[in-house]
Amino acid sequence: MISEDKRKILADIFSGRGISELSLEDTLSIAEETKASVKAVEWFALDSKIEPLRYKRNLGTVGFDGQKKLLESSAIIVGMGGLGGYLVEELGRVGVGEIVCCDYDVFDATNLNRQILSEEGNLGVGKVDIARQRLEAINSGVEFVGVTGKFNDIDKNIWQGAGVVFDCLDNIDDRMVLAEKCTLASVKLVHGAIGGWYGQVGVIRPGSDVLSRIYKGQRSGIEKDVGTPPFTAATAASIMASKGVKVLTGIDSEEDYHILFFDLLENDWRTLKFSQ
Amino acid sequence: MTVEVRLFASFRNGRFKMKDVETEAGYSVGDVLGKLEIPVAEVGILMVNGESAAFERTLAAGDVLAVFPAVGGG
Repeated sequence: MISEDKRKILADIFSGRGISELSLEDTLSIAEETKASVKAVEWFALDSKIEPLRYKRNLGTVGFDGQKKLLESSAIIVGMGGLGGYLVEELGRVGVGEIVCCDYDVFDATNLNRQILSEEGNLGVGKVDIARQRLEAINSGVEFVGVTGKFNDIDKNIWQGAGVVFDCLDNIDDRMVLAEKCTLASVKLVHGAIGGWYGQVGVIRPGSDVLSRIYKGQRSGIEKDVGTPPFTAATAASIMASKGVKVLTGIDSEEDYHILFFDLLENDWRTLKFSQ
Repeated sequence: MTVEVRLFASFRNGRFKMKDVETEAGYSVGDVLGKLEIPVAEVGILMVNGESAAFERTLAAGDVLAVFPAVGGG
């Protein structure tokens, strides 16, 4: 993550300033002074068991080692809509070190009900451009990679470096192709989909045919009739984020590879077993 | 013979949550869905006795069939 030279320089500065916990002001000034990235300064602090205040409320959950792993990780979010917008927000705040955001589209008025990145003032603006602005505003310690296009346009090196991919698409056909792509790239896919009060989330292993078994050749789901309300999108996206964090930090369990189907109308949550 | 059918999410609207359905030997999951007039084009996850199943799966007496609608939005 950082060179030995940089480590020595940072150690001297941390000790010179008597830093026992790392404020955002210190992070930014040390990054500027040493020409290290904000991420590198925060990683060094974590490696020295010094809490960056930005991540203080994460550490009890993921631990110093987990937070370091997150900062070292890369995640691809495919689709910047109802699910993807919340994932940008949550992965950015939890501190995934590189976040790749992919979408070809611009915001329109039908997005305003649920897509957290959409605003009345940015309709017609590219979703990836707004994602970049949002991520830069909430965490300068993570790297943003924007891909304005389809997921086939994502660079080969990015696929190779990805620790996890998030399926935030809005149609079944593309979801099936993305799953194949993840198989080829040998990367785990966190699938999430919603329709009305209902949603499903699960982690898909490379080579698994779970999505084929779920969708059975269907071209669309009930969302065409029952819509996609904000709370269902936020719920599914948050569960996806938690599963992605577990995969990236290596604390995922077999349960994460089943499909969680939730019904927010009748408060009915089911874990459905799919052998993978 | 009978199988126990459990419907989930939007499939419960105007139908039921759980019901014993009369079938004949050799009935498949798809046959039962047809008998219940559940539109096949809306079906997603199917579970028989807690394991994922396809439309073609042949049912036995006492099987529990769970039917979920396909959701694909984001």
